Amino acid sequence: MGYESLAREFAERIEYYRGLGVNPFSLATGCAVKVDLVDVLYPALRSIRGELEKLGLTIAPRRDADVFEADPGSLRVTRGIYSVEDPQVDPYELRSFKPRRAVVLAQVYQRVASSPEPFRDVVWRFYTRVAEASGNEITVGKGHSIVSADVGSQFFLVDFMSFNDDGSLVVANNDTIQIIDPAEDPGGVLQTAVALSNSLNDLFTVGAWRNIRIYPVYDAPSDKLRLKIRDNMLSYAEKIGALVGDVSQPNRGSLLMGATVVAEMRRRPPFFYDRVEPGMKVMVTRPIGELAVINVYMLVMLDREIAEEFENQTGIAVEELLEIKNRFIETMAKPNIEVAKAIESRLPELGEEFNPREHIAITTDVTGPGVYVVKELAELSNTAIRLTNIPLLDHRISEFATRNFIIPNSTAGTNGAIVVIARSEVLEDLEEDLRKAGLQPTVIGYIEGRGAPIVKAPLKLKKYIASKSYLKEFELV
Amino acid sequence: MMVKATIKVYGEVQGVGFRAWVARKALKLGLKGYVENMPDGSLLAVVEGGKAAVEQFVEECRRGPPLARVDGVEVAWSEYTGEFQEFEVRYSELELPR
Repeated sequence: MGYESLAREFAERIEYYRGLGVNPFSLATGCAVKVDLVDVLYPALRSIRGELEKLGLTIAPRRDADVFEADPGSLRVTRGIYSVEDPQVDPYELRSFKPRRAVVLAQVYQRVASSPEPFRDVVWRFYTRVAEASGNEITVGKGHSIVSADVGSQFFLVDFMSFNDDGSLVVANNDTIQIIDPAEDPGGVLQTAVALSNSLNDLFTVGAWRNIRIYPVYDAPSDKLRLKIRDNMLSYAEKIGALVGDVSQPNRGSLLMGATVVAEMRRRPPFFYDRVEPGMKVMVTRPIGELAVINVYMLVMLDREIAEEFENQTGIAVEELLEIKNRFIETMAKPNIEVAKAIESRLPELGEEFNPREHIAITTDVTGPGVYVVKELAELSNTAIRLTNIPLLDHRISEFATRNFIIPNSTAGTNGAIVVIARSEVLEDLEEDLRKAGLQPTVIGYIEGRGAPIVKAPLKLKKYIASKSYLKEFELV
Repeated sequence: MMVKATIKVYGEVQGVGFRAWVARKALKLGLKGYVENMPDGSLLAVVEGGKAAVEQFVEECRRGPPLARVDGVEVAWSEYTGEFQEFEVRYSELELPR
C-alpha cells in the first residue's frame, strides 16, 4: 500500500475519532493525561492529609503499586462511582462492606486540575464523605488522577477492599489510557490489550503475577464501543488466566480503558532502596521508546512534506514505518508475565533478609517519563547513577521525533520495559532467563556512589529528549 | 534587518501538531525563539531573525498544519534583542509526566 492510500485511510480514521468527539492527537501520548504531581497533586494532598487522618482516612505515600498485608483468599472488592460536584457516599452500604483499603481513580475537569486549590477542594469534599461514611479506618493505597477536557466527564471511581490479615501480601494498582494507537480502531483488541497490560505492569514490576484479578475500567462515546472494549477485556483476561470482577462503569461518554488489578505477592517486594550499593548494575528488560514511533507515524500520515523528510532523513519508507509501528504496538500489548516470574524468583522469601548476592534491589517500569524513571530511582536510593547506554527500539525514529519536536521525550513508553538494579551476578542470571523468554535485556549503567541522587547520562541523550525541562535533570557527560 | 515578532494564533491550534509544525518552519527559516500552547487555547510563538524570514513565518502561521483551523493571527513587532540561542518548543508540565 502506498503513501496516498495509507494517508487516506488514516484521514478516514481521524474523521471517525472526531465523529466520536475525540481528538486523537491529544490522546497519542500513552497514558491518560495525569493531574500534575509536583505542582498540583502533591501540594493539594499535603494540605489535607493531616486532617483526613484525624477522620480515619490515610493517604499512603505515592508508589507505583500498593503492596499491603492481606490474606489473598479473603480479599473482596466493591466499586463505587461518585460525582465530583456532590459525591453521595452511602454509609449503610460502606459500613456493611467494612473496607480497609481503597484504590481511587479521579477523572477531573482540566480547570480543577490546573492548580492545587480547586483540586484540593474536590478531593477534600470527597474523602471527608468517604471517611464519614466508612465508619472505620481506611487507607487509600493508590490514587490515579487524570484530566478531562469535558466537564461532564468528571467522576471518582473507588475500588474498596475488605480482607483479613494472615501475613501474606497483596499488590494492587490502577491505571488507564485513552487510546494507544489512533491510527487503528478504538475497539481493536490491541488497544485494550495495551491498556490492561499497562495496568498490570506495576504488579509485574514488583514480581507479582499469581492469582491475578482484573476489575475493568472502561468508557466510550457509544454503547457499541463500550461493549466491544468490555468483550476485549474479557478475552484478554481469559488468555492470561485472570479472574474478572463484575463492577460498575462510569458511563460518562469519554474514551477510557484500563483497570484496577490485584495479585498475590509471594516474596518481599523489591523496595530495598537503602541496599543499593556502588558497582550494582542497571538493566532494562527490553529497548524503550515506543511512543515516539506512534507519534511520528501520525504526523507522517498527516503531512506529505514530513513524510518525505522522514524518508530522506531516516532511510525508512513509510510502509516500513507502518510495520515498525504495528510491531511495537504488539510488543506493548504483551503482558510482562515472564519478566514478573523472573523477578519473583530473585526476591527474598517473606521474612527472609535481603541478600545482594542473590536478590534484586529495586525495579521500576519505563512509562511516560521514559529514561527519566532512572532519576526517580536515584532519588529513592540516594545514589549517583551513571547511564552508559540508551537502548531504543529504533534510534532513527526517536532522533527524528526529537529533531522535529514531535514528542517531548522520545524514550517514553506505555507498558514499557522494566528497569532492574542488582549486582552483576544477579543480573547476568536474570538476563539469561529474559533472553530465553524472547526479550532483549541490556545493561544501561551502574551505581557510581551513594549520597547524591544524580544521573549522569551520555551526551547523545539530547538526541532523544526535546524537553529542556527533562534534560536539565541529567548531568550530560 | 533583524526583528522580533510575538505571534498569537487563534482557532483549533492545540492538539493538532501545530507546535511541531511551527518549530520545523522556524528552523528552516533560521529563526530563534520558542512556541508554546497558552491556557486560553491559543498558541504563542516568539521569534527573532531577518525581517523577510519572520514575515514568511507569520504567513506560515496563518496557514497552519493540516488538522489545524486558524481563525486569527495577531502579530506584535518589536526590536531585535538577540536573547534566544535556538528555537525550542516549550511543553506544559502536564505533557511531561514524572
